[in-house]
Amino acid sequence: MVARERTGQSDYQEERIDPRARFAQMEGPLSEKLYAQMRLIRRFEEQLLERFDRGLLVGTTHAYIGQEADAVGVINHLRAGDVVFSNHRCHGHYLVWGDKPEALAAELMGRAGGLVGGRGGSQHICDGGFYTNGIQGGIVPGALGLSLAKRVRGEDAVAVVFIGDGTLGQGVLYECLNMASLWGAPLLVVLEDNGWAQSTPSHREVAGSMLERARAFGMEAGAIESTDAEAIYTHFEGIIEEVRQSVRPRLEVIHTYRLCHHSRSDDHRPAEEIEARRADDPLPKQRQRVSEERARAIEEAVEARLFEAFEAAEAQAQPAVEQLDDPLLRGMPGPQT
Amino acid sequence: MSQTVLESLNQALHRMMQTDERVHLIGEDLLDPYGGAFKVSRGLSTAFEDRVWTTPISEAGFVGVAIGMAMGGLLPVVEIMFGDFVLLAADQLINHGAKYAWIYNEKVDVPLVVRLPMGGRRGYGPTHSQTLEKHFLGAPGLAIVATNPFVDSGRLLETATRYDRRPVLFVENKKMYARRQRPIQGGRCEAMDARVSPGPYPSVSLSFGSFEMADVTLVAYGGMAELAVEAAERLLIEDERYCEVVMPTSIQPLEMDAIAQSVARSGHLVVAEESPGAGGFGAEVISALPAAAWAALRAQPQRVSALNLPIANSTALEAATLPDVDDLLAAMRRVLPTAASRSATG
Amino acid sequence: MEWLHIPMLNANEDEVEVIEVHVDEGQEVERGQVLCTLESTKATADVEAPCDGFVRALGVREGQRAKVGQPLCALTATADEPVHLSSPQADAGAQAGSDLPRATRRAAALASEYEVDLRTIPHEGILTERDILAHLGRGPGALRAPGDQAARAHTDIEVGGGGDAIVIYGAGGHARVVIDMVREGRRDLRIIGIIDDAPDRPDELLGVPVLGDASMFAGLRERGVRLAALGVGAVTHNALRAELFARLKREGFLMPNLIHPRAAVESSAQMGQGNQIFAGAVVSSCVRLGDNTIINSNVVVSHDCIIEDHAHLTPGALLAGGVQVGPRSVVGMGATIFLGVRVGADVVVGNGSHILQNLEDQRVVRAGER
Repeated sequence: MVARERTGQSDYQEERIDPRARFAQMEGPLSEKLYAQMRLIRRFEEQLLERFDRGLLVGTTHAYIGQEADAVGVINHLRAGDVVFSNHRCHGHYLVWGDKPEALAAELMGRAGGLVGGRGGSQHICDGGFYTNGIQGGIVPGALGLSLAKRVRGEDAVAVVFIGDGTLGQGVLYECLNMASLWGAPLLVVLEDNGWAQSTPSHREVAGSMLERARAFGMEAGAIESTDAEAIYTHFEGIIEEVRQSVRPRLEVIHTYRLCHHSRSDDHRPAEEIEARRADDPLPKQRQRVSEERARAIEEAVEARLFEAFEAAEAQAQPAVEQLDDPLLRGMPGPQT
Repeated sequence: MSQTVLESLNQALHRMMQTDERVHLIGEDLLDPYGGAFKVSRGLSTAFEDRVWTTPISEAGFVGVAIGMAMGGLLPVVEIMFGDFVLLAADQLINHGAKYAWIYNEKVDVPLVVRLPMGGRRGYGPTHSQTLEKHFLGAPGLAIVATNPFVDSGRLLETATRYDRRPVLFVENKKMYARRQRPIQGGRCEAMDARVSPGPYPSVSLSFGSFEMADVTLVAYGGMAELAVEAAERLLIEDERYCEVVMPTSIQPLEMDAIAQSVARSGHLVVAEESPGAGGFGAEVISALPAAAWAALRAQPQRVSALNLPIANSTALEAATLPDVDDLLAAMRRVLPTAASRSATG
Repeated sequence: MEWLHIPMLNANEDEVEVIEVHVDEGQEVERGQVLCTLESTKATADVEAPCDGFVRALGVREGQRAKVGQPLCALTATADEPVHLSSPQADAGAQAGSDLPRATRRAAALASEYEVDLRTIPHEGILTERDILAHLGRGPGALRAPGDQAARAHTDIEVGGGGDAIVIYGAGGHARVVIDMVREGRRDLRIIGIIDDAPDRPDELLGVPVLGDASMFAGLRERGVRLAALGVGAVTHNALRAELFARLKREGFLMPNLIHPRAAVESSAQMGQGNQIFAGAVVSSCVRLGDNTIINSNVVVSHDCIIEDHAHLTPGALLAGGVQVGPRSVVGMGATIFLGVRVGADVVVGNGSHILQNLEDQRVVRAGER
């Protein structure tokens, strides 16, 4: 049989992004670096919501406001070859991973220069080993498969999959915990428990213990209750290396809080609960560790960068409609002779 | 003596795993000595221990795992024990695997093969006898390939696994496994004229006379293919009418060329499928007929399909539910003009 | 006598492989003797004789795939007692086991009617009526040595080898219409000549040579001419047409149906052989014509009529739905026959009459009568 060899497969090369190396090269002490990243996420999400309110965007978005410490605490430890599978609330994860606010903004505005050319939007992006999809729990098998592919190919890489407390209702998650433990997958499941699944509080949908659910499959599980970026950063440094070295899966829960609505205009949580949790806002906590002068400089730089990013994104062309051909007509094998 | 379909598939898996270390096998009960429910995977875990993943009963989970493996540079072949169980993985296929290449702006491929033993006539009852690929018709990005005994099943599987960058549902038929492959050589297949369309997933056209003599076109795929050939033979012996059987293997996207050419010659069309007809393959074929073939039609096309019922366990009820040779013959006689005056002497 | 069938070796397979056949047709076997060895994908099995007897109608060959339940052979108590092929299964077995080529039902009927040995017909795959007809032009006569009497008498007749030669019997006025009909409507046929028994027969008709009298039929048949058309109208004397038709059949000719291209014949109409349908005739839905009828110019045969052998509907006759016309009857010009009326055998319906009720056999209705 003569057929076109699969392109980009026999010499399979993914584009690789190295967040750990980038973080190491950032200037200044750890405290400033973490604050700068979190400030970028916070302001990106706030500006996005503001644009939504002004009718400049369509669809929906799920703001990461209040959970910024998780993204910087986990993703800064990942290196080239590692993969992240994220979910509907993925902007914070991506900004730490890929650090391309302009391409992310363009994607959210459905522009040609977006991360995936305007095809995916807020919940479906992809960049150098970072993937997201909008189905609760559905991403976990893919992450497990990627982690196993890495293992098979002899890379000592880890796959991190981010889920929320709401995802604990999905059966496929447990299928994957079972297989990951059976087969020894370098998979870290990071469960960001922000207390709410859209409008439903955790206590109405999660019975028993989150950790015991994982431990029942014979895998390690741990938790941290914190919105302190440095504490989370330190906590995960060892955990990610442990997953990498042991080639065993792990569930790590971060008990946190979402200071914003689930998507948009759907927040019916008690106002006093939200007010009480404002004290846990990770940004002021981290800002206290930075001098006022440095904090202002960081904030100005973030504003300037975001202004530029959103302006540039907005100026981009819409994607060409001509590209709407049947995806099945690509990737077909050549004719047999 | 040609191979059985089962041998062909099994040997293709052995060959591929021998020559391409990216090929991995994933599914339930694959380990020897059992070797999978239908024995297609027999011997592979012995020969390639570290590339055969026998799984828990977690269709959604392991199909999703295979999607991840495919994104990570491997070439996974998933075996679903009974095709019926693929519905458990429908979300993984439709909302994940089939979409990724496109929504990620072609930054990734998902070169996945999911093998589906479909079909009834073995008394397995309502949840182990169905032909369900129709439910994936119209899922963007998901290719559907269905083999039959008139093509080399192993070679088709190898094409789907090693040379196809798309996620492919590879439909087999349980009744077909023990059947011998019926090779086509020099434009002939046994007593029939044969044509094979070009392309990786060829459509095979067979006729007991020359193709120009076709009175009716009978389109059938997968498990219906051999029944269609039997019906064509009976139409010739009993009515001296020529039926051209067209058997596509590329069900999605639907390969229409051979079908359209045949209809343009014969002017009559019957489409067969083993599942209930509503919203299925036959409707798709009829609606996809190009104008020239449509203009050549001299009677309303007929669809032959299963009754719109669950498949019963009882042999009698199952046989009455699923389409058989008599149904195909009756449909061809419905579309053909009944003149006995078309005999060679009149 | 006892029939043996192919056993099921495993539940999921309806076919087995015949690996070895250990006996021959007619061979005497003892109880327990292995007759053949079968194989499925999972098992091999020997089929043993259940009793002493003779192997008859052996229906399997080595290397073939046999269907479960198909007859394997019959065992008879004596070597020559007749084997009854009564069940359909036995029929299938007999066909599988015989050395006759597979043929369509029509081809088999044609071959038995004209005593053609199917084994002598070259064909690919399943033998059809077409194959037989194509072969008729290459009959044994084509191999006769030059100088042979019968062949020499025909040296000026171009028969050709295509099986498309047709001869017309009768050189009267009706024959000219038949010549035109063949030329117009059956371009696949070649008229090679006319046979007429009248001493004063013409030399040619519309450019077709008149060859001689009926004594030439055998020679033509030997030279491979298999098709004939009756060129006799005989107006009211249909018994003569019946007789001439029978003569052609006895000589071994096939009579094609001749339909003028400007006749309207519905596809649901059925007919036997040797019918002639003239210009302007309408043969409507589900009409049944027997053999050798003439449906003359501008006749209307409405739906569901039955016109039996040798009947002649003369120009302009009008038949309502469901009318039956018996064998050898004539319906005159411009006559009308009311819905569902049954006209018996050998009846003459005069020109312009209007028939409202059944007519018994041999009745004559004078012209204009009602």
